[in-house]
Amino acid sequence: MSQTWSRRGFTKALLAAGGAATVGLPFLESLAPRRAYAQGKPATRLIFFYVPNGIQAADFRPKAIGDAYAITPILKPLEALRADFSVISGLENAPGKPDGPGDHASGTSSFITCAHANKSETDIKLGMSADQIAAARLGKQTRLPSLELGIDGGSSAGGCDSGYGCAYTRNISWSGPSTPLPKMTNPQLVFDRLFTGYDPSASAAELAKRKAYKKSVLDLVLGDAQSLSTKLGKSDRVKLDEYLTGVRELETQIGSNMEEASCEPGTRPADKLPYAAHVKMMCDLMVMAMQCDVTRIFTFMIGNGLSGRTYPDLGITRGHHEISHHGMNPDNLAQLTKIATWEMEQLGYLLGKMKGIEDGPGSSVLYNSAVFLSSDISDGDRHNHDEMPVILAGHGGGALKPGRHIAYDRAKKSKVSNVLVSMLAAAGVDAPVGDSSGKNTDV
Amino acid sequence: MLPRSILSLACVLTLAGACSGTIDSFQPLEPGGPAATDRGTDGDVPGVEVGTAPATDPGRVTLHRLNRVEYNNTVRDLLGTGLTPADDFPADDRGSGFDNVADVLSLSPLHLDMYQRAAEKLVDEALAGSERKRVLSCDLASAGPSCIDGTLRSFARKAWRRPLAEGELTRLKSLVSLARTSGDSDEVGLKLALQALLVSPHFVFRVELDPTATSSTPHALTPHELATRLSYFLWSTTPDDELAARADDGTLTQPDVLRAQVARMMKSPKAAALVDNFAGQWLYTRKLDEVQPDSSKFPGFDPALRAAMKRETELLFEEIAFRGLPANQLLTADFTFLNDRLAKHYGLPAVAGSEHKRVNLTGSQRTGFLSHAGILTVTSHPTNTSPVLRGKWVLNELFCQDVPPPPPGVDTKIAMEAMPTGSLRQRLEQHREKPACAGCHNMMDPIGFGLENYDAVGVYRTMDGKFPVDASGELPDGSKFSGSKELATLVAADERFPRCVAEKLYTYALGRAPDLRSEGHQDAQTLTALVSDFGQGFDFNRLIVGIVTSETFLKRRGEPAAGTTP
Repeated sequence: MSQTWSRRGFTKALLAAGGAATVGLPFLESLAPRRAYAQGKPATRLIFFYVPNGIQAADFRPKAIGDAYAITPILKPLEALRADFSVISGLENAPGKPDGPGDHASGTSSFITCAHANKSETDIKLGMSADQIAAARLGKQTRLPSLELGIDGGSSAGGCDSGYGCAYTRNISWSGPSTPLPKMTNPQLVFDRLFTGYDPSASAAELAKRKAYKKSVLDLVLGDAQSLSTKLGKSDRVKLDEYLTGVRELETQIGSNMEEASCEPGTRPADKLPYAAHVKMMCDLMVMAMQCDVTRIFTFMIGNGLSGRTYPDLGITRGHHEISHHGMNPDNLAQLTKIATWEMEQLGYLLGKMKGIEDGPGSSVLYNSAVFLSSDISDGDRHNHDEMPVILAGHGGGALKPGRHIAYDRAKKSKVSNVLVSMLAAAGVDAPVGDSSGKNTDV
Repeated sequence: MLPRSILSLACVLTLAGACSGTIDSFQPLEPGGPAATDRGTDGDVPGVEVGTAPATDPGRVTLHRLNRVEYNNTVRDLLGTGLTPADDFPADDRGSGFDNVADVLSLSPLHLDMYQRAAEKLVDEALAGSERKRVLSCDLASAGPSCIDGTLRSFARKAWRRPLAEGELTRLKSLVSLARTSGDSDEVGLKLALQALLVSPHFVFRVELDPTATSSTPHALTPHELATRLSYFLWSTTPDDELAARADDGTLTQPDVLRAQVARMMKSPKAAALVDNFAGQWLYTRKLDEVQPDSSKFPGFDPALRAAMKRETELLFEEIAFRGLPANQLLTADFTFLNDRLAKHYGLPAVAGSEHKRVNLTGSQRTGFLSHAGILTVTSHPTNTSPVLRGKWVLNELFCQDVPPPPPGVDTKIAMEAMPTGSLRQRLEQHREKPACAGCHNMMDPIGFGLENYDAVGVYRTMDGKFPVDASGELPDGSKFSGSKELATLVAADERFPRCVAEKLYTYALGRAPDLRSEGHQDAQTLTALVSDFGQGFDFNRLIVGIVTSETFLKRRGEPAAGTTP
């Protein structure tokens, strides 16, 4: 990445700070106070971080309960941040159990919908995901209601998982039961979307005219869609409703007076990057979006469900999914630990950056965030949906109490969804998620 | 969703412990049994009469969003652009094996954002570039209103794949007025109107309307709707002027005109879309862009080799589909297409140049696509071959039979270090002694063993490490064979193969999964008829014409509101 990212100090400092960022950057306070403090307190950001193929418990799950647990091999990269996250073990995501085979598809689907995917190649039915439940309530406060990011677009041929349509293994963000929100994987396009309309050379009048034109084009196609809608049957109307939602969202963005980026973007990133640099760049972009308050709700898939990625940089030349069927083979287990440890390093990079940005007096973006990390399944071999690996980071602006290993007895069937409900509550959204039965008051 | 086959059903039962988990625990298919044997247990199968009344329901295709390929091709043909904006759109989800299945082509706000950006860029480029005349053939300054009307009408005719209604034209022209009142030129206004045409639902969706949206009475597609279906099936793009003219004059719905159009379109270079999009997904050649063979084991696997492998399979498909050769020659062809790089990879006599040339394979170790390096590579693991994946590919893609993934608690690592004694085959055989594995692996592995003479990037070998390759195998029906040639001959003669090809192409043509379950649905009987016709000479062209002239392609129906009886 270029160090000439920005003409302003903050982004330069942000990049220089890197993973171990400790430099306070008074950006949000100075540039985005109008919105960030609209309710007299900093806004809460919600981040949902997906890793594929499970995480093996032996090297992940701490032995002791509470705040004095010994760090485990997989958690090692997060050690410096241990006061800022909790490991929550023993939770189940029961709706992720498939009908027959297909745990990766159904588990990826239920990741933050906590809903049961309809097993079909073509009849896609799931539920609304936690990020979208939050975006529906909070999304209008920022230019983009939410941002869906990932690394892998998706395989270009072949079945995705055992009779489940590919939508189920590629998407974790769902705005409705049959509407997955596809993720952006190209860093350059993410940048363009975040800073759309930014043109320091244009006059205010010119910008206003561009907006008016854009709005008129959208009004026209909205009219097309509305009159078409009256002529359609119900399945067709579902598709057209997706279109109408999209037009309305674009219109809101234009009308929100936030189209000109409220902070100054720097150099566009490259459109293609090697895997590790790609992951880091997506984390950088999330942090930039937080800094510029373009959105406060994020999902990130570090790989798609059933990922067969090889990790030559880590000396791993067999595919991740293949290895995850480890059969307790020590060599497989060692490789899985390597991959999971690397994944935690990436989470640590993101959290470190968030911690390095000041967000209100004596507070950081990380403090005012809730970050959830989990997977489609628990163990790659058992394909189980109980004892899910869960990390909850950030303090939710004071609503969460991180820094601990919270362990549930699996027999009690405590739900992942209740943790998600607590996350949303920290952001001021009181709503159920999937199969939730209430807030998880322990987190 | 297609019903599961008896084989996969038996396989699941085995996993569930309902059977003892050995090969004896499920009924093997009758060798050469009726086509319907593995079509599920419902009875409503091709070749089996369902009920007494003939089926009359042609089904319906959900409002179809253009996928990325279709979008790019369409703007290429509309504007003559070299831009491919849809490369930036989110990946299209796939269902039933293809990314043109309307039900799973959802549309997100991100798509709309991308459509708008693309429209701005495309229109700017179109009016600034050498292709300006394609869109704007008159002089705005001198011809004024008539130029605007003409331009919008002609562009909309192509973009919306039907003539523009007067009211629609009036609304589009309101954007020109807006520009004028904002102090801009008519060209600025025209650009806005062209953008709107490209963002409109009439462009991004292939719209098919029912006279009454809630009526299940079948009706013929309009000639314009039919032209659109046909064009996206054969070309993955918008109708050209000739096809559009046959829609405009209404003659396209006449069978002889329709057949003539199919024949004409199959001769067009645009028909290569069938190779890229149908065959590319059916045979997994598209996957060659993303496989990651272990570079330390296969240092020769570079982009040039990747591309050469992909091209080989595409060219064989093209040769067979477009030159009227029998489709089962995909398996048995004694010729292929190689360039210098691939010939060297195969250890065959040198071919000069990077262009692929037709090469006779008589006397070589290869015949048909089962010995194509591309297919052998995409069905391998990064470090080693996988008789399992290869066997599964044959079952899934050539027989249309599903096989479930491994059950919990099983070490699928058959790799070197763990069990150093024995060839991969021997280790897999050992693995199949576990009852939990046997049910499915007895179906897959013995097929894949037949391809063990080719390594994970398709190089011929007689040794697997220190062990001689044993390429003897068996199909689930008990037919025994040795090596890829005998396997290819068996598959080519198996009647599941033509049925599977027909089913795949039918799914792709309609952009929906065949409905073989609903009572009265015409898909089952249509497929039966298609298969029996295709089975005569395995002629792809006949199959295509058969699909295009079937009632399910020519007709559709509305969708009764919930709770009412159709």
